[in-house]
Amino acid sequence: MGGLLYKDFLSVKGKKISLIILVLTLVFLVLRLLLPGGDIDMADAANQTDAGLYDFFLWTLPALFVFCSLGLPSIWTKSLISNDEKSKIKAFTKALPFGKNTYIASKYIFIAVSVYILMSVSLIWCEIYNCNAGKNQITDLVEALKSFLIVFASVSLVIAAIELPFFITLGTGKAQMIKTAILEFLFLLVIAGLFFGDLEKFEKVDLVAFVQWYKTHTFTVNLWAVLSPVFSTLLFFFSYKLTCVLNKNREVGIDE
Amino acid sequence: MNKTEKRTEIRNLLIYFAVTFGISWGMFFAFLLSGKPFINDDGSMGNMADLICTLGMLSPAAGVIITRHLTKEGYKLMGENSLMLGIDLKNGKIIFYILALLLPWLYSELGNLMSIIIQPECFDTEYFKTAVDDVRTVYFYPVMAFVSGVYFSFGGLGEELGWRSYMMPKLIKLCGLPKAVIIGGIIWGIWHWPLTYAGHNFGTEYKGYPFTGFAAMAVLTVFMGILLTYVTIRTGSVWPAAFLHAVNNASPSILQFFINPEKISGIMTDRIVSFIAYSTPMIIISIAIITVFCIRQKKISVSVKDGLLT
Repeated sequence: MGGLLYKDFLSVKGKKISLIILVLTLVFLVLRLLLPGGDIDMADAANQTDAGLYDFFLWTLPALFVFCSLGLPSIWTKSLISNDEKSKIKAFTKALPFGKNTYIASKYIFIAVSVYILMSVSLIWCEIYNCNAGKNQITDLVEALKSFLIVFASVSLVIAAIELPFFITLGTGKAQMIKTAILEFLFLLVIAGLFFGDLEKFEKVDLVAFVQWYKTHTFTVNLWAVLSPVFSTLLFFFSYKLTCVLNKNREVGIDE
Repeated sequence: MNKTEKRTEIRNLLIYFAVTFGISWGMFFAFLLSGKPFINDDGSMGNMADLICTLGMLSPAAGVIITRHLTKEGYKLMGENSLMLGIDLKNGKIIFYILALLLPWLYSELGNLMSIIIQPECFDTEYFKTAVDDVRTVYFYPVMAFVSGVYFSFGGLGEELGWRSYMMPKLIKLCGLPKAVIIGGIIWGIWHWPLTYAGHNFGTEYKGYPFTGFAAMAVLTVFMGILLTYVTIRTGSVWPAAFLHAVNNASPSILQFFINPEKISGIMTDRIVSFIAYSTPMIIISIAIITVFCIRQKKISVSVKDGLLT
């Protein structure tokens, strides 16, 4: 199993990505230490200071990192399977002293470990932001982001739980086609919304109001933080079981 | 274990200590010299202190990675002389994973109960209404601690990869289990000292600051170390220890919301004294476990000799 995980780690260019994340984290840490935040009211545009602007600029970095981390496991799903297909690894795995289910489990474990690590690094990014931030609404927003990290990680797991059975069972060709079709459909929905929807509600989007909501709804936030990982972990496990059942009597992952 | 093996293990351990203490103490002392507050005026931990603690918790893992690279021990995930990152729930081992989640809850509730028994005046049935933003949070607080303990266990994992998966097996090999848990616990306690000096766990306003704090930290780490070593040995994995550590750090007690700090008086206002009262159940549980350990010592030594800790 360790060997399979290491192979998957290499197949998604894990060493390169780890190094990039490490360097980016260090750069962000240096930036945060060099650019201290300030205790100001972000809503008061007339009294903005450089410190306030630093906070405003820097908070986008952990936010960006969190959302990129959310998408990475989904991107890796394809790489994990396609590399196996390319190198005809199935014939090789057949000769190894473990069953088909171990191979499937390795894919699930790899994604779960990736989500765990990316979520942990995201939390470190939020803490780096906070370490030199001022007391203002942006800092509260990062606190909210931190509280929702566990929910974001759950979403990432749910996406992987849906994608993996398709990729492992149908192969990357068909699965990628289905994924693209779904994404295109969602994209069309967004476009349709932009053309025919009520765009005025986007004008009402107010991050300060969101922070206020977050502060007054701690129970709801905590409930989400508890229930979403439980739900996503169960779904992830059932997805694994389903993939095992679907591939019981066939060659796993061979592109048909 | 022959002399050469013994010398190699000691050398590897010394490299690990030098690297880990070098990285973490470097950070801790840089923080102390920066003059930033560890504790805010409202009693919460400062943001910079929070980051330093998080990064500090990861430094034993960094220490292990660097040490294993320098000593060419490799990065095996499971088995003898490994990172102990494998998860095996079979043969009843799942019980130790559940135990790792429930044990901190049990001893923290008992610890708070002990504080209430010693000073019943501090028990305030109305206090929880002011202690949290939403009173409903109180009742599922332990569940929140379990979930965050599992999902945000990377800090605990960072420390346990160093102390439990690297240091303890080597110490057990070198001096046997009972001595190893004491020596390992004290080393782990000493590692915390710069933070204890800054005000971590006990603040700075207690009798005999900082030396009584240093001693209390060493006591805490020796007994916590017993629990963490126990679950690591029984499962052959560092994960239960990481979960136990993370849940313990999340203080999963409901009773804590019924202890009004303003009503605490006399000797219990001293953080070291209240800490000893709070930690008593955990210490008793640890002593019970080390007793079982000592009885089984021979069996475990044989397993270690055979190359497996379980």
